[in-house]
Amino acid sequence: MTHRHYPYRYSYQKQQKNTEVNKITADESGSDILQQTASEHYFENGDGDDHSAELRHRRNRISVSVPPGVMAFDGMFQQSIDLQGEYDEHMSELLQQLPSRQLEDVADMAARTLLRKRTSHIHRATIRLNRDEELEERIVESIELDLSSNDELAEDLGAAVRTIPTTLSKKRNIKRKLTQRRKKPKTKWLLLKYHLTRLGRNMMFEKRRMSRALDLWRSHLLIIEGSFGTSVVSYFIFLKWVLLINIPVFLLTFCFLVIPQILFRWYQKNPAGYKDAEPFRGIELLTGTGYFENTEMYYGFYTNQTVEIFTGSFYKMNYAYILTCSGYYILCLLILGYSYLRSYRKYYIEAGSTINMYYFNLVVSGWDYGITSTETSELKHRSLYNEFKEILSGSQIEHKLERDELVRVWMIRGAVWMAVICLLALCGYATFEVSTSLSINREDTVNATNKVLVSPLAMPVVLSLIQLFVPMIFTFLEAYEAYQMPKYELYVHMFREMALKATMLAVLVFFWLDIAPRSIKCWETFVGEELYRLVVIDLLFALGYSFFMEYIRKLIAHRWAKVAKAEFAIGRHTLDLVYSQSLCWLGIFYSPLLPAVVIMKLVILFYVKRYSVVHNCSPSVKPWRASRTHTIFVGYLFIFFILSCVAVGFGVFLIKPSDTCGPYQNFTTTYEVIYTLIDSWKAESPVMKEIFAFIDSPGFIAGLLIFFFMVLYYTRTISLSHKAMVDLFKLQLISEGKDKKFLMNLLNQVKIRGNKRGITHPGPALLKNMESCSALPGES
Amino acid sequence: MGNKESSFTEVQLEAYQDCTFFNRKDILRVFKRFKTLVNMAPMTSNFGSPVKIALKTVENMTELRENPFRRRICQVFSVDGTGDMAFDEFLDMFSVFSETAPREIKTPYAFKIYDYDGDNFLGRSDLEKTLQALTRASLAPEEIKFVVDKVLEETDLDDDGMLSYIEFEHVISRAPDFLTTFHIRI
Repeated sequence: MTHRHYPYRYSYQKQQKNTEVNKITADESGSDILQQTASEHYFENGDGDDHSAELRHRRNRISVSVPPGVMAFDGMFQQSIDLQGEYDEHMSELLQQLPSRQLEDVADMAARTLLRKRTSHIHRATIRLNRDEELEERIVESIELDLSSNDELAEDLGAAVRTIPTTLSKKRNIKRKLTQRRKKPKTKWLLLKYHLTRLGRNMMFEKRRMSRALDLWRSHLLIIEGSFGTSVVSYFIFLKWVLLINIPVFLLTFCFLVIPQILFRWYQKNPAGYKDAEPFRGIELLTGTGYFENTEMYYGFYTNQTVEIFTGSFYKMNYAYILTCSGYYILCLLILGYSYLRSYRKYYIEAGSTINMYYFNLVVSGWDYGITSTETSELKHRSLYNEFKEILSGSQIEHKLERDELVRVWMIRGAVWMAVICLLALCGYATFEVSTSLSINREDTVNATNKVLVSPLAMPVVLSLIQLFVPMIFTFLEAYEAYQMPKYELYVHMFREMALKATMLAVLVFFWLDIAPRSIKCWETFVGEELYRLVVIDLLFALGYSFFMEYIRKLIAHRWAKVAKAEFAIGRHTLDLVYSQSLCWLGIFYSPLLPAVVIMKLVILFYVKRYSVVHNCSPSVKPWRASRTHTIFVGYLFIFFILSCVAVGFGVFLIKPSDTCGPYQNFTTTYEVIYTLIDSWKAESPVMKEIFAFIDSPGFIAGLLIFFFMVLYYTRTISLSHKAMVDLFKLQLISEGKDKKFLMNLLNQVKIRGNKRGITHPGPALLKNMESCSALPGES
Repeated sequence: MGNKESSFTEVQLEAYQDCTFFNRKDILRVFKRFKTLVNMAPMTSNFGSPVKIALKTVENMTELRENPFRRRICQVFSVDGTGDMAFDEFLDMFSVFSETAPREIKTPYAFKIYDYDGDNFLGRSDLEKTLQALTRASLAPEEIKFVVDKVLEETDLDDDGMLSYIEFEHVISRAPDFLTTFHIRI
């Protein structure tokens, strides 16, 4: 084998003054070429000193961007490239200086890329070799560049500084330097804009600070989370959220409906107290009738006249009623829609990649950092171990069902679904029967005292009993269905339970809107009372459940070792919350004070459940994917809200209001009052007439619909193209990674060769070359 | 923070509020906690340097006692890497773990915590140690190897056998439970 001396040696000597690398010689082996080109790339600065056509030819054949496999190492492109040879300390040092390893730089750049809005300029981050003191300076400079180019970040220094992943003291220094350097804008217009945005920001800060100050029940949630983990505490957080939704609704009805009504009564100077009032007997808290019937509690009491609040300002009750009603429904729609979409986006779209990262999720989000009790952490460790074991065994055996087994399973499932539908129909019929036979006849038997108590309560009690026992039948049937993953079983069970509740509520709504108006005089009050009773009985059943299933079971568990303490049934309780909230939404129109009742119910429920969980329940070993189920619960809440809106809308638009009570006496439908309002506007000015004629025309509506469809189509196209781009980028990343490994191997080869010839250190010139190579072009 | 002070000035509180995800009430609450820990186990410090609490004291806090990563947490958040924490570091730690801290600040710290050997890459040994901490070393070695292989298969984009920060961040954005579990209440 002849040694070949490269003419390149000459160029080495020219560029490296002190290096001893110039003695590299090569063999005829394949690594020859690559070694030489490695040297080319690292020791030349790219200015082409090509000394021989042959070598130039070789150099042109290999360039960094071409996938490395085309040349001698053909097979390498298919397999993954392994790191060859040992990396000694100098190589490791070199590796440490790679830009992608500078964690704080990369993290900071990544974080602020997200903070920056999409349209602003992407400025080049300067990534130099890391030196700790320089880190602050660099971050300050890059933030400043951001601030000068993007007005929105200009005032939100806090937000920009907070997300820098360095220590607190460094953050303080950075902020101090930034506030020193920030200049006030020069021109008057900019100055005005500066002050306005500053004011806006301060107001937002104050609002955020206040909402964090009202941190309701923080200590309770802490205790629950410490002992039971995030899964159980998610129920309580959901409860808190539902409570917070009800508060603005209650304030709306109170301010716009209840107070004017009270003022009206006061101005009338009628006998103090309510006229036609029955004496308060205490049983009214359960039944809602009697004393409460002719109070502000129900629709029937509200007047249809104009209330004169102050001299000269008139307040028409019928307009107020329907406008307030639509107001709070729209408010709830906005809140729910926003939170559902946010939840969906966070947990489905972002998490919905092609690969299901099940293992990674287990490792990274497996441990619940909030756990503080020893018992729970033991359980958590065991639960994690079980999960790992489960997927280890599951992934190794791919259980594929045979064809006839598949047919059998699906036939069983079909049969079970038929049984479920029959059950639902049965429950609906039972509800209907109970309602017609017991509630309608109330008018006749009002004299018999015990019937007054039993018959109004019969329907809610029957409903709650059905909801308690029929899901057990569902669970029993599901055991036969043999679902492959417990996740599917849970989803199917939840769906069936909600379908049951929806069926019964639908039957009730039909009864209230269709049958009741014919036979009862003031049917809206009747509907309000029914809903009040449903809410109260639901609360009593929830308390009873806590008492019997949890407390008594704990007592039994003390005596009898075979019976274990109950585990908190998160799914069941959350669905009950959804049901009770949908009752509230159905009832607000007919009983304006119902939100107050629901708020009190939720508060009682919170405290009872909280003490019951901590004292009576044991934490569960089974894993519970809180975030995914949270999306499902908010989804169900949203669906039930829409259904309630449809039901109430039905009543408002189509059903004739009662003639003797309420703000809409003598109208054909409740909605008619809006027509009179619009007519009065039209009569006032011809401009309004034109506008309304235009809005009413079919052309306008068709145009609006077409516009919405186009927006939908456009956003869908954009999202599809983004997905395609993401796939492309992934492929590009993979090939870049292979390039990098390839080059590191080459470099290592060079080193090894050098070591064999007694050269141990790459030399300061190499390091300086690395430095200048890693700086981006344009700023060497 | 200077030596034992019983209250902060307005400017200091403002600065803390701007640099952490806490509001005034939370900062004072954390400070009260810090003081009780200092009083329980005072560490002699040089005059002029901030008061610190020892690693052992922090590890035995109620919030961190059961956490299998408590030592790594303390090491990551202490400036000198030993785990002894001054008030600034203590506050910073709970601020990152608080509920309002966004994903962008939690991800680098999660990365640093799971990076046992500190090479800014999550290699196989880091993942193995994480797994053992999670399951208290009850999985067999071949099972651990299998799981680590699976994790790398799912997440390693450039196929170099380790997770760089960018890859980690990319897959964390697809982990729906990360924000809720990476959270300590105080």
